[in-house]
Amino acid sequence: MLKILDGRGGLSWSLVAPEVAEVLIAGTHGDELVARRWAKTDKPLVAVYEGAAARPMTPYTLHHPFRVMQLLGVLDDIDQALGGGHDAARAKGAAGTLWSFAESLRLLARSSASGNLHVAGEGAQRVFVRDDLSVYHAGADTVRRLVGHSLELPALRLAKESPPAEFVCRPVFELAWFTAWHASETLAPWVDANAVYRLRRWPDFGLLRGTREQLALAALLTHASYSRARLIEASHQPAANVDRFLNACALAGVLASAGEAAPAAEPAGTFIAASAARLGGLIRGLRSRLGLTS
Amino acid sequence: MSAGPRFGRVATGVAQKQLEALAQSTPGVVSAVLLSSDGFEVASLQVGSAGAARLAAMGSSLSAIGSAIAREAGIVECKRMIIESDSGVVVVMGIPEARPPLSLAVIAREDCVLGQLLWAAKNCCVTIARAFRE
Amino acid sequence: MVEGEFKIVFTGPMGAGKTTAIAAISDEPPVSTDVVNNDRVAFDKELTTAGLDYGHIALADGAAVRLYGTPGQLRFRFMWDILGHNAAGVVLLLDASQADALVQLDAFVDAFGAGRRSPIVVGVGRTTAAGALALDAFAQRLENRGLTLPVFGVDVRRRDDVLLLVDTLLCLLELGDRRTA
Repeated sequence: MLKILDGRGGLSWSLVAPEVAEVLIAGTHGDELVARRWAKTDKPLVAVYEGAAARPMTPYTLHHPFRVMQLLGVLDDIDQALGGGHDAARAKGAAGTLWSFAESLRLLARSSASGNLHVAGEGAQRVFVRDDLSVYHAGADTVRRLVGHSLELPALRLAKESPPAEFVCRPVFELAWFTAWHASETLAPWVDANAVYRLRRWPDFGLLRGTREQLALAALLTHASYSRARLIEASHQPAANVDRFLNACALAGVLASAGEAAPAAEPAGTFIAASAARLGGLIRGLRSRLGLTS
Repeated sequence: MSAGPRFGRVATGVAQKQLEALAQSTPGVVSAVLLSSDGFEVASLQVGSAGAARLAAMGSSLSAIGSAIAREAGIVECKRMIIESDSGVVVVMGIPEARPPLSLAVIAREDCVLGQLLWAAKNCCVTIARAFRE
Repeated sequence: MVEGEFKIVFTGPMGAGKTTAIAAISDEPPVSTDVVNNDRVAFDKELTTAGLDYGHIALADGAAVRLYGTPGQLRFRFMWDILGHNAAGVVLLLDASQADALVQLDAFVDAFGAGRRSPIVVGVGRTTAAGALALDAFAQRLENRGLTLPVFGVDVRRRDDVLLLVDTLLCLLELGDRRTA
């Protein structure tokens, strides 16, 4: 596998013993004793799963059999998370409290799940997050505010208490998305302004109530890979929109770095658009008729 | 895939005999399928099981669309539909009184006399309706 | 394709809400071809679509958008081909509480070209029902196949959710549109 990787990625990877490795890759087979020893680790872990098994609730997964580009993509993500290649210092420095909560969420994503709850904030404003990043618990009021504003929470800490009974339980995706969206109008410390990105999957805009601009950005980023600059250009949207979108997708775990800027997967004529101008007019008319102009 | 609903052995037996009688009495009849309104085959003649299943589904779609067109046109019901070509004819005739509602699809060669076919098919439907009303 | 028109197809298994979705945005109540459902074991619903649902949205200048709902069962597959022919886009509605929902996802996505012929958006309902699949299962299934179709959790009884699906389809069409310009 490493032979195939050699020369294809921007970095070189070598196989070493788990003790000194910076990244671990684990599958379901293999020595039970060895696996248990490394089960609780702070090192980034790529979980490999096969067949119809459910995807492990860790941030880095690969479904076997996987293609070389998928492995490279995951390794690139890990490299970025480890602060390789760009300003790791920036994350700890000037960003400070602005990104504290988000950073702690990312830290949680990088460690293995042990079934613990983590909490941030005080009293009724507390937010509990399960360390497998499946759900979060918060008061109904908090959830309402989350959607519209930055919650300004401190970093997560291990919870000694349980969430109050009246707290609601919601998908973590929502928490990650809105946390990152409202935190800042500029790129988060962990999003590289020079990297080329694509989306692994669409955010669930049914849950998030996506806006037209967000739909348009998702359409672009699932169709081809873009750098931040090219995305701003292609979408005709303000940089702030694009930055927020990249931040939110990154924290929510759907942003993937691409090796290099890839052209659109399909040729231009794939979609039935015999006359570009005609279709554009119809789309505008339909939007207007359905009250979708925004 | 589910085996689909059962339609009552006695009634189905009657229907099968009626289809055979129809073919014997009417020169030019190639095949026939008795189908439920939601596209399941109830009985069939001279059609393999895959072909019968397909005809049943398509026949039901055709009937359903025909009824919808009739409603749009202000006509009360669509009693039958005839697809004519130079090489043959397909007749889909409704049996709304049956329980469940059924249709009869008959395929005939071009030398079949349409009037005779329609008359024989109508009688076939009346008998089948009686068997499926009990 | 006729000048000044395009069509959107709503498809998916029985009970996923195709007729409801079309009714939510059609100018007038859609024409339906419902017939009595005889297969109550497979599906406990009184009526089922044998032909198609038809809805219509009139735009200014005489242009129109035609909405077609397909029957859900596999035996009506020929209708999917007929109705899907020259469709501008497809809205696939699924019910997360159905045991074979993921198999349905694969079948319908493949039947309508896997997003290569014309854009497909997927709306999944009833994800909060007891024992239902989570939305993640559907997205993961597509990701495993290298497909990045939009997959949203929706309730088609809410008009806004239907509009979201249509708006997403339009965004994808504009993408293709932009590339040919």
